[in-house]
Amino acid sequence: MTTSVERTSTAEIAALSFTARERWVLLVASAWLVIGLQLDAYAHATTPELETFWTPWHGVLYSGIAASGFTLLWIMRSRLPGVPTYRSLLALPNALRIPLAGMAFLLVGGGVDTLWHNVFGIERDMEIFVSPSHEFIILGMVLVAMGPALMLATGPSPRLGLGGAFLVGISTLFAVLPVHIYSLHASSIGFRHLGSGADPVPIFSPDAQLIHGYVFSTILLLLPFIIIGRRWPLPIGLPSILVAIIAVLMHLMFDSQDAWWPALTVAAAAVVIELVLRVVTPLVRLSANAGWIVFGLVAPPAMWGAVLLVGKLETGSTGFNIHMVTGLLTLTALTGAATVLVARSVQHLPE
Amino acid sequence: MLFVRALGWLGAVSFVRALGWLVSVWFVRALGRLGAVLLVSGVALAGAAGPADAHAGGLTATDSRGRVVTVTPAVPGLDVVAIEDGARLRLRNGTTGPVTVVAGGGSATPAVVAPGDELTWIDERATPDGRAVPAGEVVPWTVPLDANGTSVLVTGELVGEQGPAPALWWAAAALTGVAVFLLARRLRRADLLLAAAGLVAAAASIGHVAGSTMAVESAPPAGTFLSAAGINLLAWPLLIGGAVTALRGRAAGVLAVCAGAALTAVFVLPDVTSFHRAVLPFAGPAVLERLLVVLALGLGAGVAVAGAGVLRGLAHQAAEQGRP
Repeated sequence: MTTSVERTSTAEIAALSFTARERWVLLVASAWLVIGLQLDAYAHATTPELETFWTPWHGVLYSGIAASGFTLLWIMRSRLPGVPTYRSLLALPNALRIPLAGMAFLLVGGGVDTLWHNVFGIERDMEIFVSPSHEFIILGMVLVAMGPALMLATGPSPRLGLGGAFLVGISTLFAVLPVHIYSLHASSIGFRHLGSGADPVPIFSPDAQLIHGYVFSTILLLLPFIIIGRRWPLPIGLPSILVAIIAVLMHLMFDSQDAWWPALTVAAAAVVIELVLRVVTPLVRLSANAGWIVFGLVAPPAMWGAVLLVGKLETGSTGFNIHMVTGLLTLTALTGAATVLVARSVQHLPE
Repeated sequence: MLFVRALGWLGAVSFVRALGWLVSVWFVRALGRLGAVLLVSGVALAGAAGPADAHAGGLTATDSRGRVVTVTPAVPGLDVVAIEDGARLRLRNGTTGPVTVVAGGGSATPAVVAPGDELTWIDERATPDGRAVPAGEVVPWTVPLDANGTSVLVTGELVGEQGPAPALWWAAAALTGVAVFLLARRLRRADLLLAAAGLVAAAASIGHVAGSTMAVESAPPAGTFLSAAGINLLAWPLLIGGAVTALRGRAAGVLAVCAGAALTAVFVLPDVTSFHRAVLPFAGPAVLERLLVVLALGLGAGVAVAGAGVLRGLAHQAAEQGRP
């Protein structure tokens, strides 16, 4: 169920490859960085009066930035000529250039963020999610975190072993988690899962926002698997584990005071959907692309349908009428198929 | 904790090896040991309590200076003063009963100060931060207290001061950057120019951070210095180590200087407010602080931009001499 779009020759692959040590060290450093930033953001969000420097969160954050920055320098070292130039930096392989760009975004975003706070004050609530400097910081985190997976993708291996699956899984998790968090205002795995019960639903309303949340979360949950699936056959369990961990972490961070059924339903649905697809796919003769499109059509409405069903059982209502429920599930199916079509059609730019 | 220490050590190893390529061997070994100590002890210390406000005590440049005028009625043993140019108030309770700062001054209030204790806090009713006070104008403020059942009123004022001419300071920063760029294009040994400019930028940045730290009365200096330095803790070793390496004739040092210079320029950006505001959180003349910011910003940006051409020239020379 994969079609590689790699067009690189064996010799080029050898020249571009990264060692296992480089990949794993960057994985640890980037995970350290993202965890530090998330811990710090969580601490500040939950403890408004927290204005001290000597906190464990700052310790993890600052040391994580240092670890990531110097790890990237260490990896870069052997790939630059004796007299390095800016051009030679830009000519580094994408798998290194992208996390380096991420580090630049992170550092520039950090500097600009402090200036922003000095000039305009500290953002609150929705302002946090539309702050330009925060967007730079999030983008930086994402690009640094995807480095290890990109480095593994430059290698010649057509399949992911256990270690490779673990590395790609962790790298992907830390690359997408900040985006899930930063799109909390348009997420169906944050703190809203069901409608408010309004009938009819106003066009501009929290219910309408939740519909967009389902669409956005569908794209964000699907995209990593499609991209990984373009390079390697998806390791068994990787999709469901990634969805489950993200759902549980999002609930833990933003909704831990409320019932756990939404996160646990998403996690269980992911496992069941993957299991069913693994069993059924070999029995149906479909091309790789057709298989992916079917996956995109079926998986999202199955998952969100399960959430709405359990929600009805738990609370007595989905909060939406029949128009909204059927329309929502159809929309997520179309969104899934469109995500597959777009993500699998993107090709390398001509050199 | 052991895990965190191990991670700190791993980061330190990467730190040392990366810098080993950038700077000379003796410098790397010394810095490596220092880096390891800093990272490991930093992570270890982070778990310990020892409050120090972020961003140089949380102070910012403002338009006015605050002070306490009166405490009425006067209560023997009760002392309230404005510190850090009025950014914070400090209350010493030398009375026999508790003193309460009445709510309304932000997240720090209400607050109760026991007999013999002291409280330092930012009170939104009194702080000049975020308040536009025209030069020469006086804005009064009041903070109500309850001293063991007695209502006490602390009155004070914010006095607006004449700000600088921002255009002049921005022009100075721009001219500094342009001067470095143009000189680098004309000099035969532009690598030495960049190394020297990088060292000056590092010195200016260190001076700026040190002066900002010394202006903070409400937090221990060590933690305040670290928080004010921030990413400069990475930029300074790159600038200094890179300059030493460049002066020894190794081109890789120039790249390190350029990277450190770019970081220095980015991380002094929050302090360009000193070009616009009158009262600066700096232990020294305001003009000195502005000069330090001009140097860090102008030289940092100039070196980072000029580095492209200088490194290209060095690579060209190396190719002509048949060196890789």
